[in-house]
Formats: sequence, structure tokens, C-alpha cells
Amino acid sequence: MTGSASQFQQLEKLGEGTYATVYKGRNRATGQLVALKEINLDSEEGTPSTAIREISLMKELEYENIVTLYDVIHTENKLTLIFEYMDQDLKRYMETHGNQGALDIKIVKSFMFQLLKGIMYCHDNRVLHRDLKPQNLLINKKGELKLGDFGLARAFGIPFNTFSNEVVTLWYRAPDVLLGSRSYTASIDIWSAGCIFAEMCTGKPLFPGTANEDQLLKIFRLMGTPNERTWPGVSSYANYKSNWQVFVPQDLRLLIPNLDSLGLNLLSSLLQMRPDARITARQALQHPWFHELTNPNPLMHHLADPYQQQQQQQQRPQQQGY
Amino acid sequence: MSSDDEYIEEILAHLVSLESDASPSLGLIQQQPEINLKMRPLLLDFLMDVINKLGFSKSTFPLTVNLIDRYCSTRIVKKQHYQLLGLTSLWICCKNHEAKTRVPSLFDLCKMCCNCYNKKLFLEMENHVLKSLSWSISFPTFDAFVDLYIELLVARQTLAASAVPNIKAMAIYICELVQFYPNLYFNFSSSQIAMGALLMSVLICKAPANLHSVLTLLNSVVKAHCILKYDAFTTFYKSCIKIIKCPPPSLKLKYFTGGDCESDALSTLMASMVSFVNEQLLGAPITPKPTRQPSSSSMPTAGQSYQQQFTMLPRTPVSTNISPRMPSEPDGAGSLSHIGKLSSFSLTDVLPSPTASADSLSADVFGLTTPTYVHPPLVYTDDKTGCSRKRARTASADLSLSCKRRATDSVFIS
Repeated sequence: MTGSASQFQQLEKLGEGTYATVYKGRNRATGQLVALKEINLDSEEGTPSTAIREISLMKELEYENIVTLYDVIHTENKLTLIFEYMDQDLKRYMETHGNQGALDIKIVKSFMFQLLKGIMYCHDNRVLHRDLKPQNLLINKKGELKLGDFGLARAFGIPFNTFSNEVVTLWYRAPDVLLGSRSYTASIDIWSAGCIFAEMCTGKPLFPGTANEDQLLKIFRLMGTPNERTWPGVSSYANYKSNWQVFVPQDLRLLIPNLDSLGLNLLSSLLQMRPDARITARQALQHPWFHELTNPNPLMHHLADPYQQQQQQQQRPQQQGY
Repeated sequence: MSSDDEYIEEILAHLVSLESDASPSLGLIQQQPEINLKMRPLLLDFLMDVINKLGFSKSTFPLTVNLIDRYCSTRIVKKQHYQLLGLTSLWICCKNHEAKTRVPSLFDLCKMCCNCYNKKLFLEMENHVLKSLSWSISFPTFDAFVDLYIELLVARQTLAASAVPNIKAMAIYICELVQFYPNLYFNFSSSQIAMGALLMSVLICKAPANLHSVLTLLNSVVKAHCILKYDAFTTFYKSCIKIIKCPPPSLKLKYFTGGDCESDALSTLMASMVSFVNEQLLGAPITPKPTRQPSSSSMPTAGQSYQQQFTMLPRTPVSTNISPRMPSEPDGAGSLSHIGKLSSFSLTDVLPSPTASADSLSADVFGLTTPTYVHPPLVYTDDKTGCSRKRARTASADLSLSCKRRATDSVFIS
């Protein structure tokens, strides 16, 4: 890990976060494309804690479904992280490739499988991502999905330290965290995965809440308002209110008509209100909905590579026209 | 937490593999030209005090110690920069572990060392440490291992859940203590120290658990990797039993004289530990095994002097029982001088070689002697330290006081 900034040519800006700016870059020597995440160093704060956490965790995580950190360049007033280059994030992918944002179920299946594999790897390595959302899932031209932006991730012990509950962008935040739980576990990433699953199928965010309370009500409207009978211990959460409007659970089928019943079954296992009832990433990967991926059939081979399949479909009419 | 059970074994295997990548090297630390292992416990004691006062989580201390030792295994550290390294490591660990609001500011850091380092030095040091350790700073700490072991034992019904709080508190105490003793700490990995401490804790708390089944279960979790063999545990136990009653001042303050609501349960626990140790040492005097450790030449002497000391001590009450004596003071000292005595944490308690002269350890070990700094006269050292101790006990976080005390400590020692 000894590089200098001049090694890389800075190209266009890819995005701007709260503590960093990301540029596309090119390695001058090899021509390889990279993502340069630039963090300005504050003279009072030193290296930001988010950077310290992100780098030390990413150095441990080497996996096909997690974005690779190649190098860190540390100068007096700037810190640059050199990441593997990915073409798009999932949000952009859905906008450009989806039918009004909704993706083909085969692509959804491939992406969900890769997402859950990435989550399982993190949890096996006692890392909680804590900020899973379409903007943080990166897609390349090979149809590979990788988890990125570990700025909010934390290593956890068991039992977990008390974390702050200001984690995970509101829309993908688990009900137990919204209710004020500070001892959440791996299950919070699973809830986010469920929300992303539904969003890929419909093209619309599942619970686009505007504030903590509104977010909870949006969840209750679909999943039903919890009570001591459906969720023992729910009333002891800090943000619990006994006067919530009572909703009954809705049928997910009506919301996502294009998803088959096995897929709906998986979705509802991910979106369990009670954190301890939520399925784990490892269990989810063994779900029958993924059987065609876990037991590959040569005829279905293209499923693992949805991008290529799409390109083939686009190419076919052209060839016919010749 | 049912969903996490299935991850315990993977996490444990992962932590064991991580820990081998991030271990300091005793041999390299001993080659340092300016700093030596005698300064280490003093630095750790100072950092532990800071950690206690600011109420950091229990992972912060072991992680800080790991960063300090690993940095000392890669870079030469000047004597006057040892405390800078310690505080910077603490700063990095806080950023990694603690909530944002708790991370000390640069101003706080400067205050902690009585302004003998400025902000620029801290920033520079932070950069050095992160680069030298190539950003690998999430070392698996023993408290993570203790938690995992206990979780496993409870899940497999080898340990009753009711015994957990006491066993855990005692195990963490032993782990924290062990870090002050290089000849124990560097001979075992964190996973081993955590397991040794847990097993000792089971014995001390007289928990209804079979030691052998606990040992066998924990050793079988990670495939093809025996964490702590029985004879290694015996070595650990024999060394540990001799030091367990005499913690350095910072730990004494934390565990034996705490002022919070937990203190009752804790002091009962510590009292039972002291009586356990007394029984062990009186019943069957332990002869240390010098063959096990490279630097063990010091152990026999330390052990003998402790034994003599223990036989003279009364069993209760706790606070007087565990206070090391001031060489110059009579036994029946009053309560105030007892507070003063806390600062008399003698070097021989922690040094790898207590027979060596302590002269080499000058008062500016921690770089406290900047040209402007004037040592308080030795004559009223006791009063001063007594006061600062008292204030510290009333939860005052005035760190400059602790620094002054530290300086007077060194004066007293030298």
C-alpha cells in the first residue's frame, strides 16, 4: 500500500457523499480504470472515523461480491482510496435497464443471489454493512453485483455493542431499529435486502417514508401493526406507542404481481418484523427460489450473467435485419 | 439472537485467523534502542486511567495496546514519543470503536499530556501509525473472544446463564491485567488469554461447570485448531495466580474502589477472588516453571516475594488487602494514606525483571519533562497524589490532574 496520487489520472466525478467525493480514474501505467474516493482531512479531526472503519474493514474483506480496495494514498490534507471500478450502481441500473425501474425477474434473482452472498460473507466476518441501499450496490458490465461503501459498517462482537440507531438510510431501515433498538444484529442488513428485493421487482421503493414515525406507519400499513401477541416484547422499545392505527397484514402478491409464490415466500422471510424471526443470509441462499442458480442447469446458464443475456437479446434483431 | 448462533463458529475461526496476522513481536520490541519493557506498564496504566475516566468500551484498551506494540515492532520510537504513540493509538481506536461524540478532540488529547505534545504532532503520529500498520487496525480483542466463548458455552449448556455476569467480569479483569505483564502477554495470543482467563474465572467464581468439558468444547470449535492446550493453561494459571491480587493502580481504581452502582457486586466478586487466591497460595505453594518462558528469569523472584507478602496479609476487607505497601509506611495506615498508597503501585509489580535497578527509569519516561515543566517537590507528593486520587474517584475527568499524579508517581518510583 504505497502509492502516490500522480499514479492515477483523475477523470469525471462519479458522485459526492457526505464525507467523500468519488471520481473515475485511470492508472497511468496500466490503463486500468479505478474509482478514486477522495476524503479531505480536517486539521482538527485528523483522519475521519468513517475512513478508519471503512479501510480497516475493507482490507479484511476479499470476496467476489464485495468491491475491492486496491490502495490507500495518504497525504497531509487528503486521503484517497483506490477502489475497483464498477460501471453503475443498482439505482442507475434500474433507471436505465428496467421497465420503469422494474427489472426482469431473472435479473432480480441473479442480483438477489449475489447480494445475499455478499451479506453472508460480511456476517461470517463479523461485519455489519448497516447501509445497504441500491446506491451502495454496484454493478459491472459482466452483471456482477458487489457491495460498496462500507463507511457506516462496523465490526461486531457477540453480543453486540450498543450502536447508535442512526444507521441505514430511512427507507431501508428495519422496524426494530426504527423502534429504537440499539442492540441490533446481522438481521438489520437482511431487512434492507428485503426492501431492495421488492424495489427491484416493482421499480419503486417499498417503504418511502419521510420521517421515523412515517417510516414505521408505511411498514405497518403493509406488514400489519405489531402488538405483544404478534411480536412479544415490542412494547418495551423506546419508540413504541400504544395508540398506533391498527393495520392488518396485506398480501405481498397484490403489491408484486410479477413475482412467483416461491419468490414471495423468500421476500416475506426477509421482511419479518421481529428481528429474531428474520431469515439469515445463509438460510436465504438455500431457499428453493434460488435452486436454478444453486443447481445450475446448462440450459439456464445465462441466468448467472443477466447482462450478457440482455445484450444478446438486443443483438438478435440486428442480426436478423442483416 | 438465534440467528447469530450459526455465525459463532465462522466468526471464531475468522478471528483466530485474523489474530495471527496482527500480532506484535516481543523480539523486535526488545530491540528498541530507547524504550524498554519497563516503560510499557506505566504507559498502559496511564492509558487505562484515561479510558476509565472517559468511560470507553472494553475493546478500546486491548486494541490500543495492540496498536502500540505493533507499532513498536515496526518503527523505532523515541523515549519522549512513547506517550504520544500511546495517546494517538488510543485516539485511533476510539475513532474505530466509540460513538462519534465520545472520540476525544485534539484539544482533549493535548490536555491529557499536559500540552507536552501539540496538535500537529498528534496528526503526524496518526498518519505514521496508520501507514506503518498498513491500516489493519481491527485486531480481534480478547473481549470479543470472551463473549464468543461464553455465548457458545451457554448455547451448548455447559455453563449456566445465571453464572455469566460474574464469570465475564472476572475474565475481563484477568485479561486486562495480563496485558501489563509482557512475559505473560507476549507468550499467549488473545484467543488464548481470553480462554485462560475464562477458565480461571470459572474456577474463581466456583461456577457449576466442569473445567475439562469447557476446555474440550472450546478447543473443538475451530476445526484443526486447538486454542489452548491443558498444559499451556496450567502455565498461564500458575503465572496469573501470582499477579491477580496486585493490579496496577488504574485497574485497582476500576475494580476495587469503583464508585458506581455496580461496585457492590464487583467488590464482592473481587473479595471472593482474593480469598480464592489466598487459599490457593497458602494451600499449595506454586513453584513457577522457569522453562516455559524466555523472559521468565524474573518470575521466580517475583513469585516468592508475593507469596511472602500474601501470607502476611489479612483476608478482608478487600481494599486494604490488595493495596501494595509503601516501603516506608507502617501497616496500620489510615484511610487517606490508603488512597495515597494507591499511587505507590511499585515497579516490581509489573517489571519483567524486578531485580534490575529502577534508576534507568527516569521521571521523563512519558516525555513529561518539557523544559517548562517543574516537578512537584517530593516532600508533599503524598498529599498531592492523595488529593488527585480522591478527585478522580469522584468521577472527575480532569485529566491534567492524572498527568500530574503520573509525574509524581515517577518521581516517587525513581
